[in-house]
Amino acid sequence: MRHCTKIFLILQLFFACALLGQQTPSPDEKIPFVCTFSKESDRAWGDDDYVQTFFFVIPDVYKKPVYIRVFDPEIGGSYDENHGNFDSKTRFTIFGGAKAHSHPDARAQDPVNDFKSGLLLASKTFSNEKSYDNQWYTLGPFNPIEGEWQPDYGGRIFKIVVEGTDGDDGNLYRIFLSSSPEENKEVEGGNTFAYEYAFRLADIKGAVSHLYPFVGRGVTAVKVKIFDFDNDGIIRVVSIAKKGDISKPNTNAEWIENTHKISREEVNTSLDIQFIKQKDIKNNNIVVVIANQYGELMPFYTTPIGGVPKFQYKIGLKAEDD
Amino acid sequence: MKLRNPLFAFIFLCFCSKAWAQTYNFRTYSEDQGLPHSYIYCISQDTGGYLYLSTGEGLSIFDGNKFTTFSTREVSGNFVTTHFMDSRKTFWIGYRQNGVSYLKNEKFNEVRNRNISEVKVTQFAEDRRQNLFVSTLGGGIFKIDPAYNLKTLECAEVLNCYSILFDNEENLIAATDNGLFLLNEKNDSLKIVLKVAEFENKTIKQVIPVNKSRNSFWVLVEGEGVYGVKKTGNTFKVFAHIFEALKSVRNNIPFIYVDNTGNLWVSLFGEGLRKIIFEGDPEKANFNVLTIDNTNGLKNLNVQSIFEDFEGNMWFGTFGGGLIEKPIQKFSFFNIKDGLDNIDVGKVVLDKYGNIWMGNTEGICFFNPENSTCIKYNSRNGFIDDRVISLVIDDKGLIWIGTANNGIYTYDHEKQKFENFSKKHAISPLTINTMVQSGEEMVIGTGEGIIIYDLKSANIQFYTTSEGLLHNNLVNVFYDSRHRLWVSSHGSPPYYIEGGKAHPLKNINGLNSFNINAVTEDKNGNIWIATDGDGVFRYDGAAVINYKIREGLASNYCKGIAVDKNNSIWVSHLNGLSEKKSGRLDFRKISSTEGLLFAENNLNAIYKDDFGDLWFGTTEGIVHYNATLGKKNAVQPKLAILRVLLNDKTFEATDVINEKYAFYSVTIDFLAIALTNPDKNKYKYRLLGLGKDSIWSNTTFEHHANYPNLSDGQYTFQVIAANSEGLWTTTPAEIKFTIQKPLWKKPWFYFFLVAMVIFITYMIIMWRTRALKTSQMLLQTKVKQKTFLLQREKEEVEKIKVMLENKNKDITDSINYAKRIQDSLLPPDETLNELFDENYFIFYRPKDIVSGDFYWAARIETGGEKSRTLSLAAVADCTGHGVPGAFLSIVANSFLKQSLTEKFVNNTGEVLDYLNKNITATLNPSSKMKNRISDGMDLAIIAIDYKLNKLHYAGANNSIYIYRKGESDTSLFVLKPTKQAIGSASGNIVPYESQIFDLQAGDTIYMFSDGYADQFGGEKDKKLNYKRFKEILANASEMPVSLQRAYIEEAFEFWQGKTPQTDDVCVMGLKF
Repeated sequence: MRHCTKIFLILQLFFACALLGQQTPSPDEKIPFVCTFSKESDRAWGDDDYVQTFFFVIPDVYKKPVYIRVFDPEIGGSYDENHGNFDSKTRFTIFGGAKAHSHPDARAQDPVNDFKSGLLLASKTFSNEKSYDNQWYTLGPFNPIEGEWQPDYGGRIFKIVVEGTDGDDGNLYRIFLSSSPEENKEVEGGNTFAYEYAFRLADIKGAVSHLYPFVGRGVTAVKVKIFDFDNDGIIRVVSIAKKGDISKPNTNAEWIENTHKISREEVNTSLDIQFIKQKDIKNNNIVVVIANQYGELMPFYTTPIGGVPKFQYKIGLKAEDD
Repeated sequence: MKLRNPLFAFIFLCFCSKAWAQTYNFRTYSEDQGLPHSYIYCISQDTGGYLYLSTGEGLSIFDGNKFTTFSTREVSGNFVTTHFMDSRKTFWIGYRQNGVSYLKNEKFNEVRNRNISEVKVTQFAEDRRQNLFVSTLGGGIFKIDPAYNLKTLECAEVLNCYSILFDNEENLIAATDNGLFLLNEKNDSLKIVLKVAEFENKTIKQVIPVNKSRNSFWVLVEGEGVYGVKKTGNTFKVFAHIFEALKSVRNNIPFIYVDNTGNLWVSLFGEGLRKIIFEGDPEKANFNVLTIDNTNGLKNLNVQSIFEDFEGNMWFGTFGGGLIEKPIQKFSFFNIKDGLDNIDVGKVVLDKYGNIWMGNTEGICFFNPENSTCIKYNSRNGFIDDRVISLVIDDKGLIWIGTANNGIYTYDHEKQKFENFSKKHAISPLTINTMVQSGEEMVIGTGEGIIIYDLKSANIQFYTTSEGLLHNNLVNVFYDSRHRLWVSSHGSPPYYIEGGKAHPLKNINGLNSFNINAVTEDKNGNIWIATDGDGVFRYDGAAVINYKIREGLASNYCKGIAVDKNNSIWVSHLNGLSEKKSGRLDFRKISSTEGLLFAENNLNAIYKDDFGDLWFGTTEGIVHYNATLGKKNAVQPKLAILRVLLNDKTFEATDVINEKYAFYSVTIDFLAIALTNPDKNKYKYRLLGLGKDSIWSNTTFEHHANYPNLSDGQYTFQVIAANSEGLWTTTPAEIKFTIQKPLWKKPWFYFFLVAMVIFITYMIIMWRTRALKTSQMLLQTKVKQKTFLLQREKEEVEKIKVMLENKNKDITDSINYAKRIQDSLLPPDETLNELFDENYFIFYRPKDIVSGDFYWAARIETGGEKSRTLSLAAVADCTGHGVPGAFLSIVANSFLKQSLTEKFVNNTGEVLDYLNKNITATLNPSSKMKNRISDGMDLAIIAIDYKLNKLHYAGANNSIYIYRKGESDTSLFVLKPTKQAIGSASGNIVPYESQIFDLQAGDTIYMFSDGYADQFGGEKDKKLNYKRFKEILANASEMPVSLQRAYIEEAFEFWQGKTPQTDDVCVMGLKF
């Protein structure tokens, strides 16, 4: 990924002030939960492959132990999506070391072959356990140097793979990269990103959820792929140059792909892909993948690099919204 | 306190096996101390004592002082996950995604294939055939045979393997994320013998043996704690499950470890450690759990690895917190943090349940260390508000409390009832300083004497100075093994009471203050006396020995003294403790570096429990000394010589050092590894071969020795070391090295030297012989030449000689002929006889052939009417002698004759005038002559008128003597001359004076030249001089004139002796 080299420089600027990018989903995204369904689930319920992968970046200068905390990791009780009885299991596995991120399978859209590349550092499987319901569970500590050294990304990268191993229920959870085992305390300069994002949209009509893919150098177009949106509303793309490109919505258990051209001024900024809910559909879970013009997946950070993008109106033009 | 009740003893034993929550003296080593990385994955220790640490930044070795880390060049990767020393002493290192490597011949060699290079090595295990098995996360299990060939053992079930070990039947037990497996390896393939059902599909993080038998194991199951399983055949049976007892919130256990005493250590990420202390066989699962976390001083709660070193120190490798050492904690402490209510503990005793009872300024306190319960007793709950000075628990469990102002109280803890003993028994002394129970008696030392209370009969006896005490104010009382009651007081010497009589120790050297604080007795029967200011005294029944600061005491002010179960003597001070171990001569100061946190001890606040442990009451709380652990550090340090530096050349200890001759500055580095208190390790060393053999150096903390100027020799350097407890290694570490002899000290050189000397001597002789021969030949040639020349010169000389002889003969002949002429000019004897009627003599002896002296005589007739005949005589001394004198004498003779014919010459003076004038004119014919001749003569001339008896005299520098014989003596008349020589060519010429002397018959007239008086001779070779000359003439004048000449001649020759004649001699004598 050639454009990743430049990402590093921008990341450096970002890491200096961003401390909230370690919660997934982040407050900026206005997404209530990420979700992973178990492998016996129906794809129409919103998860195309029953696997969710996130990457955590730890700056090289950070030497203290880091922790990966999961909120409501079990599959039962509050928040989780029940289909019949809660009889499912979800496994959270942490990987580090070489190839944890750099392996192509780790960054692929589908969890096939060596998507669990790297070294197994920790693993924990949850089922319907009350003790973990509505609670934070801490994985770790992890030695920062156990992550894969990825200088283009500004440090060492850990990977968490969440798999719905048994059953047919949906596990809704949040993840926090923390410097403390007891509380959500940011790792200074750390960040989280993913190449595929399975999450639940807000249930409230009119609510807007956001994703912030970063447009690196050399990107001339982005392809926004969305799975199982169920025509729940409008999908639009906002950037410093786009006031709101509307994407085609899709139907149940289908992928739809919308391409948006990238102008020169959008390079090295983040896009704001907005999911504007317009129906009363509850528990709508979707999967989003963003690729460049070559089909290479683009990472999207839980906190937008460079801040939430705003359309910059040209001088002399009257804004439409006004 | 004695444990007489077996039940109580059992309870007490149970209690004592438990561990109390307490503050530990942890030491942390971080990157600031040189640790390469603060994440430590594995710890071990080699036989040399070095601690090996696997870290994320390489392998580090700790020697107690510094960390040495292998860089990436030395090892094949930075991230070291584990390491292992196999039975062949090969050191193995396992990496994260870098395979394994081993150290051989001081070089790291990599062993890896594609499979192992991509996974994380978790553990090594070795079978009896010296095959090494490597467990990995992601790659399963690998095998490395003794030839270092790596093979992958295919077994999909154990792909993620956290831990492996071999059981007693050589089966491999593997802990995996898929359960616990019993495996068998054959022909490089793994066969699953058993998948342990109890742990099926569970993540097993670790499996370790419970003990050396390797048939029971601790199994760490993720999320479920630790299981103890017993393997019998191929069946596993769980005998223990340690989970709830851990009281863990997170249940995240990364590591478990069994220490040398069989206790199980469990690390809980984020929650510190749990030490599972087993009572007896661990398989009976009877244990207590000790929590060690930040409340005990553990600063990092993420412990990843645990290890106990050979000294018993515990080492914790943490995750991000570096290396933490928990030294052997022989001291434990109780203060407010542990639940104490009042930390100023004046007295401390233990009851039969192990509860601690303390006396302090406010009353007494009960403290249960197990649950940190503290109950304070004062006026609010049945006791009083007073300072408790003494505290003792009798064998029935009754607590006796001695107060400062209110006498004695007793307390029954079971009934929780206090009683005023003093009031009950009407005891008047209210200050109770000390109490001790002996059999049925309670001995109570007060400020006014001793009370002895019979526990059985309740009879009370009171003793004071009136009954023999040396002082009424008692500080301490002590019964020794001979049942002698030792009494300590301020103001009296130490003494004991036996048979109702006080026996003081007298004349104790060093005892000045007489402030005795306490007495105790060791196992050898020696009495130890602690004083306030004079240190400690030991009394062995005969002699008293004093121990002070110079003998190692921390202070000379000793607040208490006790003996522990190891027979060590302990002394408490305001600034710490002093210990004298049994068998050692000196005390040793115990300070904070040995883990003593509280230092200020109260007076006589030492208590020895039934296990021989000591308890100290201090102003900061209670100090407990565990005598068992105190003895544990009796492990000699590991000592090794590291390297030798000869000038700038470094040799390893294993090198053979044999260097060429030179003067070397030799530095030898050595190191003792005793990790308990490495700063206190000390050394003595010596260098054999230096001449000062067998003399050990002074004790030093430096771990290197330097010899600045070593020359040739064979040296053996030896060093011994002691740990912080002063335990010395019995066998010295040594290294030999040789500095070769110089050329001139080698035997062959001496032979060479002798040969060279002989050769050179021979060569010198040869050379000299040749040179001599050459020289001789040259000399002979020269001699011949010289001889030839000499011969020629001789011939020349002989010719000259002949010529000279001829010339000399001619000259001599000429002179002789001249002499004849001169003689012919002298008046002949006939003339003289005629003139002087034979009354005369002449002693005339020229020095040479011819003479400068001459004499002259003549007769003259005066003319005129009164013509008279005068006989004239003259003696002259011409200038010089020999030929020149002779010439002058001829000239003078001639002019004398002429003067007689001159008209104007009428007297003797005018004769001389004439003579002077003519001679001067003759010798200097021209007044313009440049070289005027001033030669002339001295002369005396007389003319005797025999008729008128008159003598006319004139002298030119020559006087004449006239001796006249009187009746009694001879008179001498000296007629003095005119001081002017004849022939004076310059100056004023005066006329010569004519003198007339009247002669008498018999007068003898002497005329003379100076030759007689100037003759050298005599004994001292001096001149004869005129004095002696006058005496000779005087003697001669008395003789007949015919004899006078001979006399005068004899006298002259006698004086002359062998001395050559000095001048011409002429003496003329005339008898009138």
